[in-house]
Amino acid sequence: MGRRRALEGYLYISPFLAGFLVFTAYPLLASLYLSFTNFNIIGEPQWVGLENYVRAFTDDTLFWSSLGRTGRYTLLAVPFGVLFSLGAAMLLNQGFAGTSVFRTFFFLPSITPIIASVLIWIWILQPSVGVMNYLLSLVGIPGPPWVQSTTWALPSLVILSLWSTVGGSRMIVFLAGLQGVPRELYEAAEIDGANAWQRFVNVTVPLISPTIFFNLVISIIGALSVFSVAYIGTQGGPAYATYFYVYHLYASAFQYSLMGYASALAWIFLVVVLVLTVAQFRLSDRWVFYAGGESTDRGRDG
Amino acid sequence: MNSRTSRRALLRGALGLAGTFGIAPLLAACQQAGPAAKPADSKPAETKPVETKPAAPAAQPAATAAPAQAAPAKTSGGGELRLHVRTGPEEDTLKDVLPQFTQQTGIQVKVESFPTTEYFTKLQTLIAGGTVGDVMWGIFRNTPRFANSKVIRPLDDLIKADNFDLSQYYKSAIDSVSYQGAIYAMPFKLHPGPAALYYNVAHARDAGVTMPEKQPASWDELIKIASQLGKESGGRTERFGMSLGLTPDNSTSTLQTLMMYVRSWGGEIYSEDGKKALLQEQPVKDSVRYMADLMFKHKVASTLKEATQQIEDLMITERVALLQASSSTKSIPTKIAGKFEVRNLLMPPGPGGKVGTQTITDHINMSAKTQNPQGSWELIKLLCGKDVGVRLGGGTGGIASGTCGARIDAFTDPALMSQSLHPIFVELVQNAQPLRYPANLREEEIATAVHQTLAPIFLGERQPDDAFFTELNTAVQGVLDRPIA
Repeated sequence: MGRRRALEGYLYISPFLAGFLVFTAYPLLASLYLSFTNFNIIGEPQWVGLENYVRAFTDDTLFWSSLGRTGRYTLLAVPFGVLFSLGAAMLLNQGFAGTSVFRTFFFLPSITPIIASVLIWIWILQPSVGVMNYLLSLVGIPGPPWVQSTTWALPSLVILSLWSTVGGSRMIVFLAGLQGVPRELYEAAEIDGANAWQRFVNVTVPLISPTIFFNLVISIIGALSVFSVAYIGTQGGPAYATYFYVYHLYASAFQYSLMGYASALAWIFLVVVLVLTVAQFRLSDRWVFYAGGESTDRGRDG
Repeated sequence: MNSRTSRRALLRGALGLAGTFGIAPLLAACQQAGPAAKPADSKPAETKPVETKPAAPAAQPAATAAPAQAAPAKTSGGGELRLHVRTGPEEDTLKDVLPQFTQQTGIQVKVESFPTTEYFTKLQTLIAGGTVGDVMWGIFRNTPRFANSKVIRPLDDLIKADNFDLSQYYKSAIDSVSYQGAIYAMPFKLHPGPAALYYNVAHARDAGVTMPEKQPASWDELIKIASQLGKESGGRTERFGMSLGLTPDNSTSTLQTLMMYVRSWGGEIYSEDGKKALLQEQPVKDSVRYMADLMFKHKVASTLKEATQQIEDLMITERVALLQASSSTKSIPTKIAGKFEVRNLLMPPGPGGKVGTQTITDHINMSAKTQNPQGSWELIKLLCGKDVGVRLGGGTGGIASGTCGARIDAFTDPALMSQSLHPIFVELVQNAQPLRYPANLREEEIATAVHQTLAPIFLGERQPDDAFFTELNTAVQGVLDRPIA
């Protein structure tokens, strides 16, 4: 009976398994193999051993610079993104009239096609004819050159990506987390004389810390994978100012047809992301609190 | 099972899966040749040919123009050919002539078109999968790569068997389709690089400038004209005198523009054998400094800060009076819909007495796997024939529209010569210099390196001092030193 049920189970998941094996597992393994070859797509792969990996670390200046640039982007985009999403979720959690309308407005940018939103933002931020600098000029502020400046290009893309992600799924996850905080805890805190800030710090934050952790991990992975805004908006420029790691990977694969080298870049990237994610899990033991369960705060537990 | 543990385990499991699958597409994408589509076209039609005869003199028209090409011979058996082209005006042009081809040969042609920005990715995917069609559109930089990988077949046997007269084409165009002594394509389109100056007639009238008949006599005169055409209002530039046609994201356009100036100063970007970068040579320094001076010293040209993704935007919005561009801009009247009149001039001759030109061609290749080489050859002859060439040169709007076919009788066709923006290109293509090409075929990487390294100069963030040229040369030499792509 158990065996029969197990077979049934496998039968039910077989469509997924087939798709996973063909469209994910096989390409993953193939890319691992290709990372040890010289492959220009139209010819036959030639085995080169570790040459692609060695080249990335020792003979490709764009490898390190793009990795560093991606790190800087992540350091800007993730804290602001998480904070703004949390702020938006808290506003929507107040129960004001018309909340559902605002929720829709906040969510709209995240479902706007990225191509459309980037192109519109590029026009908005155009230094000489863009709306942004025109509006700034009305209040006497000379606008910066935004995406057409090596200094401002990266922050411009951060602004652009914040617009499309702050009100998206990250905000919805926060909202769900906030709605899961028991009302009586706030009431108890109020009786104890806690003000709004104290309630936020001592009640809200600990209870939604698993949600914050989830959003943080997902946001860091997303920020490290930044590509579309640079590809559509700036083509990695000016002067490589927005030439991120995944853009370098893409250019190597699809513009220069260096598929073997690009595969090596992808596997290096996987390792980097895995290391960062594991580190976050280790650190999470110090600050993530699971309500109703064993505290993960080792210091407090002794 | 402990509920506390399961909640944490669930969270960890979800994050682990999210992490794995977040990266998986990147890894998988490296196995599958299929990138995201890019919306903003980067004008790959502004293309450059392969230099096949390094010591070849400046291109000249063939000694005699052959009579118009005869209709293709009717082949027995009919059958079907698959043709890959870009979507847009080129595809529309071909669709108009293909029924006639089918009628004459009995061969059906199935057109499989892809948007410009994803064309080569899709083509390479078809090649890798062994499902590429019989005949395909391409640009100069693909022919040597495809020939090197034996993806396309040489056409010499078919040309010889057909006694096909190659002198119908500009010699430089035929040189551009040759690789290692064999002809691997026929030239579909030809242009001489951004060596033309388009101007808004109303702006010239408004500024009281009498434009030269043919071209500014010198680079100094160009500065003077651009200065007169510019307009300021309240301390703000209302209209720039000139635009060099640079965009923030089109590296091919930047390389072609740099090439135009460098050749006007008598220089080159690489050595004849395509192995050595020459970007520290004096002509390169002089030409880049001149370009920067137009923007920041004389303040007559728009900088990269004003540029948008399409080179013609500033002219269409009447923010610039003179636009340096190539023959695809011949289609600008359809884009401005009669709002103002546009005419064009040649760029001034450089210190060496010549306008800097380059032979830039689009190609039609034949797949090495075609089962019908004779039928494919007939189709190639049609696509690279006079009729299609004239239609392409008509400039009816859209990306890369306005660039003519590479036959002499197409360029000099009365229908095109009667268009005010076309005639200057006849002289330019007659004298177009062959393009030098990197020996390792990594031209696109070089274009990116040049574009990204030059950007701070055209943004006014850096001076074109000797240290800059050392950096530029090192960037390009770094690409040239890599193995063949």
